[in-house]
Amino acid sequence: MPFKDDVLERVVDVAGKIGRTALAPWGGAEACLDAYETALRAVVDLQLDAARAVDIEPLRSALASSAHLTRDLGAAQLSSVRWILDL
Amino acid sequence: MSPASGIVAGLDGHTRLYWEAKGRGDPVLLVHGLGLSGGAWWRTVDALAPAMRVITFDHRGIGRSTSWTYAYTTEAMADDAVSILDDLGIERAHLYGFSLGGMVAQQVALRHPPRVRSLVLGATHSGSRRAAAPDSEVVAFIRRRGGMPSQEAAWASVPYNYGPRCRTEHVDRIADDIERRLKNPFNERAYRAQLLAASLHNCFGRLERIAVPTLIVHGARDRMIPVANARMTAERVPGARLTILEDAGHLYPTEEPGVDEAIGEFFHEHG
Repeated sequence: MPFKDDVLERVVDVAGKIGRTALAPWGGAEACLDAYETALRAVVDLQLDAARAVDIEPLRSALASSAHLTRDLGAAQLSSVRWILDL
Repeated sequence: MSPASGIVAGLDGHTRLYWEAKGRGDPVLLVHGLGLSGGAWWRTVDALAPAMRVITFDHRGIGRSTSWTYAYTTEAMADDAVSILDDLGIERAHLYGFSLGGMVAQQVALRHPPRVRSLVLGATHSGSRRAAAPDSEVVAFIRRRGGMPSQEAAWASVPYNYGPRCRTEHVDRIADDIERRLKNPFNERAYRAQLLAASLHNCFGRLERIAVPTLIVHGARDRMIPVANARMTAERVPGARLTILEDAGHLYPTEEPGVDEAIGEFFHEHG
Protein backbone atom coordinates (compact mmCIF):
# COMPACT_ATOMS: atom_id res chain seq x y z
CA MET A 1 0.00 0.00 0.00
CA PRO A 2 2.44 2.71 -1.11
CA PHE A 3 -0.15 5.49 -0.94
CA LYS A 4 -1.14 4.64 2.64
CA ASP A 5 2.51 4.23 3.67
CA ASP A 6 3.39 7.58 2.14
CA VAL A 7 0.51 9.35 3.86
CA LEU A 8 1.35 7.68 7.19
CA GLU A 9 4.98 8.74 6.86
CA ARG A 10 3.97 12.35 6.24
CA VAL A 11 1.55 12.35 9.16
CA VAL A 12 4.25 10.93 11.45
CA ASP A 13 6.75 13.51 10.14
CA VAL A 14 4.38 16.38 10.89
CA ALA A 15 3.52 14.94 14.32
CA GLY A 16 7.24 14.60 15.05
CA LYS A 17 7.92 18.21 14.09
CA ILE A 18 5.05 19.46 16.22
CA GLY A 19 6.23 17.34 19.15
CA ARG A 20 9.83 18.54 18.92
CA THR A 21 8.71 22.18 18.65
CA ALA A 22 6.30 21.82 21.59
CA LEU A 23 8.96 20.30 23.84
CA ALA A 24 11.71 22.76 22.89
CA PRO A 25 10.93 25.24 25.72
CA TRP A 26 11.45 22.43 28.28
CA GLY A 27 14.98 21.63 27.21
CA GLY A 28 14.14 19.70 24.06
CA ALA A 29 12.35 16.47 23.29
CA GLU A 30 15.29 14.21 24.18
CA ALA A 31 15.76 15.77 27.62
CA CYS A 32 12.01 15.55 28.32
CA LEU A 33 11.88 11.88 27.37
CA ASP A 34 14.98 11.13 29.45
CA ALA A 35 13.38 12.82 32.45
CA TYR A 36 10.18 10.84 31.93
CA GLU A 37 12.16 7.61 31.68
CA THR A 38 14.06 8.41 34.88
CA ALA A 39 10.80 9.08 36.69
CA LEU A 40 9.31 5.83 35.40
CA ARG A 41 12.31 3.85 36.58
CA ALA A 42 12.09 5.46 40.01
CA VAL A 43 8.44 4.40 40.30
CA VAL A 44 9.28 0.86 39.13
CA ASP A 45 12.21 0.60 41.58
CA LEU A 46 10.01 1.83 44.41
CA GLN A 47 7.44 -0.86 43.70
CA LEU A 48 10.14 -3.55 43.43
CA ASP A 49 11.72 -2.43 46.71
CA ALA A 50 8.30 -2.64 48.35
CA ALA A 51 7.78 -6.14 46.89
CA ARG A 52 11.15 -7.26 48.31
CA ALA A 53 10.29 -5.83 51.70
CA VAL A 54 6.83 -7.43 51.89
CA ASP A 55 7.01 -11.10 52.71
CA ILE A 56 3.30 -11.76 52.29
CA GLU A 57 1.79 -13.41 49.25
CA PRO A 58 -0.11 -12.43 47.14
CA LEU A 59 0.85 -8.85 48.01
CA ARG A 60 4.45 -9.41 47.01
CA SER A 61 3.47 -10.84 43.59
CA ALA A 62 0.96 -8.05 43.04
CA LEU A 63 3.56 -5.35 43.73
CA ALA A 64 6.16 -6.99 41.49
CA SER A 65 3.62 -7.52 38.69
CA SER A 66 2.53 -3.91 38.97
CA ALA A 67 6.19 -2.81 38.72
CA HIS A 68 6.67 -4.91 35.60
CA LEU A 69 3.47 -3.59 34.04
CA THR A 70 4.58 -0.01 34.72
CA ARG A 71 7.99 -0.74 33.16
CA ASP A 72 6.57 -2.42 30.04
CA LEU A 73 3.79 0.09 29.40
CA GLY A 74 6.26 2.93 29.92
CA ALA A 75 8.81 1.30 27.63
CA ALA A 76 6.24 0.79 24.88
CA GLN A 77 5.09 4.39 25.26
CA LEU A 78 8.65 5.79 25.16
CA SER A 79 9.60 3.65 22.19
CA SER A 80 6.56 4.86 20.20
CA VAL A 81 7.15 8.50 21.09
CA ARG A 82 10.84 8.24 20.18
CA TRP A 83 9.78 6.66 16.87
CA ILE A 84 7.41 9.54 16.12
CA LEU A 85 9.91 12.20 17.21
CA ASP A 86 12.70 10.38 15.34
CA LEU A 87 14.96 10.33 18.37
CA MET B 1 32.34 -31.21 31.29
CA SER B 2 28.58 -30.85 31.73
CA PRO B 3 27.34 -27.34 32.36
CA ALA B 4 26.08 -26.05 35.71
CA SER B 5 22.47 -24.94 35.59
CA GLY B 6 19.86 -23.20 37.69
CA ILE B 7 16.60 -21.30 37.75
CA VAL B 8 16.06 -17.68 38.76
CA ALA B 9 12.62 -17.12 40.27
CA GLY B 10 11.15 -13.67 39.61
CA LEU B 11 9.60 -11.56 42.36
CA ASP B 12 6.22 -11.80 40.60
CA GLY B 13 6.07 -15.49 41.52
CA HIS B 14 5.49 -16.56 37.91
CA THR B 15 8.60 -15.72 35.89
CA ARG B 16 11.27 -18.42 36.04
CA LEU B 17 14.46 -18.17 34.01
CA TYR B 18 16.58 -21.22 33.24
CA TRP B 19 20.35 -20.71 32.84
CA GLU B 20 23.40 -22.82 32.12
CA ALA B 21 27.09 -22.00 32.66
CA LYS B 22 30.13 -23.75 31.27
CA GLY B 23 33.87 -23.12 31.53
CA ARG B 24 36.03 -20.93 33.74
CA GLY B 25 37.43 -17.43 33.33
CA ASP B 26 35.92 -14.04 32.59
CA PRO B 27 32.13 -14.37 32.41
CA VAL B 28 30.28 -13.82 29.13
CA LEU B 29 26.50 -13.81 28.91
CA LEU B 30 25.05 -14.96 25.59
CA VAL B 31 21.60 -13.63 24.68
CA HIS B 32 19.88 -15.55 21.90
CA GLY B 33 17.42 -14.59 19.20
CA LEU B 34 13.75 -14.90 18.31
CA GLY B 35 12.00 -18.11 19.36
CA LEU B 36 15.24 -19.92 20.20
CA SER B 37 16.40 -21.33 23.54
CA GLY B 38 19.82 -20.81 25.09
CA GLY B 39 20.77 -24.19 23.62
CA ALA B 40 20.93 -22.54 20.19
CA TRP B 41 24.34 -21.19 21.24
CA TRP B 42 25.95 -24.65 21.28
CA ARG B 43 28.65 -23.86 18.70
CA THR B 44 29.61 -20.60 20.39
CA VAL B 45 29.61 -22.15 23.88
CA ASP B 46 32.04 -24.83 22.71
CA ALA B 47 34.26 -22.20 21.09
CA LEU B 48 34.39 -19.81 24.07
CA ALA B 49 34.18 -22.16 27.08
CA PRO B 50 37.86 -23.29 27.02
CA ALA B 51 38.89 -19.78 28.11
CA MET B 52 35.75 -18.17 29.56
CA ARG B 53 32.79 -18.81 31.82
CA VAL B 54 29.99 -18.93 29.25
CA ILE B 55 26.45 -18.37 30.47
CA THR B 56 23.34 -19.00 28.36
CA PHE B 57 19.69 -18.76 29.37
CA ASP B 58 16.21 -19.26 27.98
CA HIS B 59 14.21 -16.08 27.54
CA ARG B 60 10.93 -15.95 29.47
CA GLY B 61 8.30 -18.22 27.91
CA ILE B 62 10.90 -20.12 25.87
CA GLY B 63 12.43 -23.57 26.50
CA ARG B 64 12.65 -24.19 30.24
CA SER B 65 11.80 -20.61 31.24
CA THR B 66 8.27 -19.53 32.07
CA SER B 67 6.35 -16.30 32.10
CA TRP B 68 2.99 -15.16 33.34
CA THR B 69 2.34 -12.56 30.65
CA TYR B 70 2.80 -12.90 26.92
CA ALA B 71 3.40 -9.28 26.11
CA TYR B 72 6.82 -7.93 26.84
CA THR B 73 9.55 -5.57 25.76
CA THR B 74 13.29 -5.71 25.16
CA GLU B 75 13.58 -3.64 28.37
CA ALA B 76 11.94 -6.47 30.34
CA MET B 77 14.18 -9.02 28.65
CA ALA B 78 17.24 -6.91 29.51
CA ASP B 79 16.22 -6.88 33.17
CA ASP B 80 15.84 -10.67 32.95
CA ALA B 81 19.41 -10.95 31.64
CA VAL B 82 20.69 -8.86 34.55
CA SER B 83 18.75 -11.01 37.03
CA ILE B 84 20.74 -14.02 35.74
CA LEU B 85 23.99 -12.13 36.49
CA ASP B 86 22.63 -11.23 39.95
CA ASP B 87 21.77 -14.86 40.66
CA LEU B 88 25.28 -15.97 39.68
CA GLY B 89 26.88 -13.18 41.74
CA ILE B 90 28.50 -11.61 38.67
CA GLU B 91 29.12 -7.89 38.91
CA ARG B 92 30.29 -7.31 35.32
CA ALA B 93 30.24 -9.56 32.28
CA HIS B 94 30.98 -9.49 28.61
CA LEU B 95 27.74 -9.52 26.67
CA TYR B 96 27.04 -11.11 23.29
CA GLY B 97 23.56 -10.70 21.85
CA PHE B 98 22.38 -12.18 18.60
CA SER B 99 19.44 -10.85 16.54
CA LEU B 100 16.62 -10.17 19.07
CA GLY B 101 19.29 -10.93 21.69
CA GLY B 102 21.35 -8.07 20.23
CA MET B 103 18.44 -5.71 20.88
CA VAL B 104 18.25 -6.99 24.45
CA ALA B 105 22.03 -6.53 24.80
CA GLN B 106 21.71 -2.87 23.69
CA GLN B 107 19.08 -2.37 26.40
CA VAL B 108 21.34 -3.96 29.02
CA ALA B 109 24.19 -1.63 28.02
CA LEU B 110 21.86 1.40 28.27
CA ARG B 111 19.82 0.41 31.35
CA HIS B 112 22.59 -1.26 33.36
CA PRO B 113 25.89 0.20 32.10
CA PRO B 114 28.03 -0.87 35.10
CA ARG B 115 27.17 -4.53 34.45
CA VAL B 116 28.69 -4.66 30.95
CA ARG B 117 32.41 -5.09 30.32
CA SER B 118 32.24 -5.28 26.53
CA LEU B 119 29.52 -5.79 23.98
CA VAL B 120 29.11 -7.85 20.82
CA LEU B 121 26.03 -7.17 18.71
CA GLY B 122 25.41 -9.88 16.15
CA ALA B 123 22.95 -9.67 13.23
CA THR B 124 20.78 -7.11 14.93
CA HIS B 125 19.29 -3.63 14.55
CA SER B 126 18.67 -0.73 16.86
CA GLY B 127 15.12 0.17 15.86
CA SER B 128 13.69 3.61 15.00
CA ARG B 129 12.19 4.85 11.75
CA ARG B 130 15.60 4.60 10.10
CA ALA B 131 16.00 0.83 10.58
CA ALA B 132 16.28 -1.02 7.27
CA ALA B 133 13.33 -3.43 7.02
CA PRO B 134 13.55 -6.92 5.52
CA ASP B 135 11.92 -7.50 2.12
CA SER B 136 8.17 -8.25 1.96
CA GLU B 137 8.72 -11.99 1.40
CA VAL B 138 10.62 -12.24 4.69
CA VAL B 139 7.99 -10.21 6.56
CA ALA B 140 5.22 -12.48 5.24
CA PHE B 141 7.19 -15.56 6.33
CA ILE B 142 7.83 -14.20 9.86
CA ARG B 143 4.08 -13.55 10.23
CA ARG B 144 2.97 -17.00 9.14
CA ARG B 145 5.82 -18.86 10.87
CA GLY B 146 4.17 -18.68 14.30
CA GLY B 147 1.28 -20.88 13.17
CA MET B 148 3.38 -23.54 11.40
CA PRO B 149 4.30 -26.93 12.88
CA SER B 150 7.82 -26.75 14.37
CA GLN B 151 9.62 -29.02 11.93
CA GLU B 152 8.00 -27.48 8.87
CA ALA B 153 8.77 -23.98 10.17
CA ALA B 154 12.41 -24.85 10.87
CA TRP B 155 13.01 -26.09 7.33
CA ALA B 156 10.88 -23.36 5.73
CA SER B 157 13.03 -20.73 7.43
CA VAL B 158 16.27 -22.00 5.86
CA PRO B 159 16.23 -19.70 2.77
CA TYR B 160 15.75 -16.69 5.06
CA ASN B 161 18.19 -17.66 7.82
CA TYR B 162 21.19 -18.95 5.85
CA GLY B 163 23.15 -17.49 2.96
CA PRO B 164 23.34 -19.23 -0.43
CA ARG B 165 26.83 -20.64 0.14
CA CYS B 166 25.89 -22.36 3.38
CA ARG B 167 22.74 -23.76 1.79
CA THR B 168 24.78 -25.49 -0.90
CA GLU B 169 28.05 -26.35 0.89
CA HIS B 170 27.06 -26.92 4.54
CA VAL B 171 23.64 -28.54 4.60
CA ASP B 172 24.93 -30.80 7.40
CA ARG B 173 25.43 -27.79 9.66
CA ILE B 174 21.91 -26.57 8.94
CA ALA B 175 20.54 -30.04 9.75
CA ASP B 176 22.49 -30.01 13.06
CA ASP B 177 21.02 -26.61 13.96
CA ILE B 178 17.49 -27.75 13.22
CA GLU B 179 17.85 -31.02 15.10
CA ARG B 180 18.95 -29.15 18.23
CA ARG B 181 16.30 -26.48 17.81
CA LEU B 182 13.52 -29.07 17.65
CA LYS B 183 14.53 -30.54 21.02
CA ASN B 184 12.73 -27.64 22.68
CA PRO B 185 8.99 -27.35 22.16
CA PHE B 186 8.06 -24.21 20.23
CA ASN B 187 5.86 -21.78 22.15
CA GLU B 188 3.76 -19.79 19.69
CA ARG B 189 2.57 -17.26 22.29
CA ALA B 190 6.11 -16.52 23.42
CA TYR B 191 7.21 -16.22 19.78
CA ARG B 192 4.51 -13.61 19.15
CA ALA B 193 5.43 -11.80 22.36
CA GLN B 194 9.06 -11.67 21.22
CA LEU B 195 7.97 -10.34 17.82
CA LEU B 196 6.10 -7.59 19.63
CA ALA B 197 9.18 -6.84 21.74
CA ALA B 198 11.35 -6.67 18.60
CA SER B 199 8.91 -4.39 16.80
CA LEU B 200 8.78 -2.00 19.76
CA HIS B 201 12.55 -1.96 20.15
CA ASN B 202 14.08 1.48 19.70
CA CYS B 203 17.58 2.33 20.92
CA PHE B 204 18.90 4.10 17.83
CA GLY B 205 18.88 7.63 19.23
CA ARG B 206 20.66 6.54 22.42
CA LEU B 207 23.39 4.36 20.93
CA GLU B 208 25.94 7.11 21.39
CA ARG B 209 25.54 6.63 25.16
CA ILE B 210 27.00 3.12 25.00
CA ALA B 211 30.37 3.55 26.65
CA VAL B 212 31.87 0.04 26.50
CA PRO B 213 34.04 -1.47 23.75
CA THR B 214 31.62 -2.75 21.10
CA LEU B 215 31.98 -5.15 18.19
CA ILE B 216 29.24 -5.41 15.59
CA VAL B 217 29.10 -8.55 13.44
CA HIS B 218 26.74 -9.07 10.53
CA GLY B 219 26.37 -11.25 7.44
CA ALA B 220 26.30 -9.29 4.17
CA ARG B 221 23.64 -11.70 2.82
CA ASP B 222 21.34 -11.38 5.84
CA ARG B 223 17.71 -11.25 4.67
CA MET B 224 16.11 -11.18 8.13
CA ILE B 225 17.92 -8.05 9.29
CA PRO B 226 19.57 -6.27 6.36
CA VAL B 227 23.25 -5.44 6.78
CA ALA B 228 22.54 -1.69 6.45
CA ASN B 229 21.38 -1.86 10.09
CA ALA B 230 24.84 -2.96 11.24
CA ARG B 231 26.45 -0.03 9.44
CA MET B 232 23.98 2.43 10.98
CA THR B 233 24.55 1.01 14.47
CA ALA B 234 28.35 1.07 14.03
CA GLU B 235 28.22 4.74 13.04
CA ARG B 236 26.35 5.63 16.23
CA VAL B 237 28.14 3.60 18.92
CA PRO B 238 31.33 5.46 19.90
CA GLY B 239 34.44 3.56 18.78
CA ALA B 240 32.48 0.52 17.59
CA ARG B 241 34.25 -2.02 15.44
CA LEU B 242 32.33 -3.50 12.50
CA THR B 243 32.90 -6.93 10.97
CA ILE B 244 30.91 -7.80 7.85
CA LEU B 245 30.99 -11.46 6.79
CA GLU B 246 30.65 -11.27 3.02
CA ASP B 247 29.20 -14.73 2.32
CA ALA B 248 27.06 -15.16 5.41
CA GLY B 249 23.34 -14.73 5.94
CA HIS B 250 21.48 -14.18 9.21
CA LEU B 251 22.73 -17.20 11.18
CA TYR B 252 26.41 -16.44 10.62
CA PRO B 253 27.64 -18.44 13.66
CA THR B 254 26.65 -21.57 11.69
CA GLU B 255 27.89 -20.29 8.35
CA GLU B 256 31.21 -18.86 9.57
CA PRO B 257 32.03 -20.71 12.82
CA GLY B 258 35.52 -19.18 12.81
CA VAL B 259 33.99 -15.86 13.83
CA ASP B 260 33.53 -17.16 17.39
CA GLU B 261 37.32 -17.23 17.81
CA ALA B 262 37.55 -13.61 16.67
CA ILE B 263 34.80 -12.72 19.14
CA GLY B 264 36.68 -14.57 21.90
CA GLU B 265 39.79 -12.53 21.08
CA PHE B 266 37.74 -9.34 21.28
CA PHE B 267 36.58 -10.32 24.79
CA HIS B 268 40.14 -11.11 25.90
CA GLU B 269 41.35 -7.80 24.53
CA HIS B 270 38.84 -6.09 26.82
CA GLY B 271 39.05 -8.49 29.79
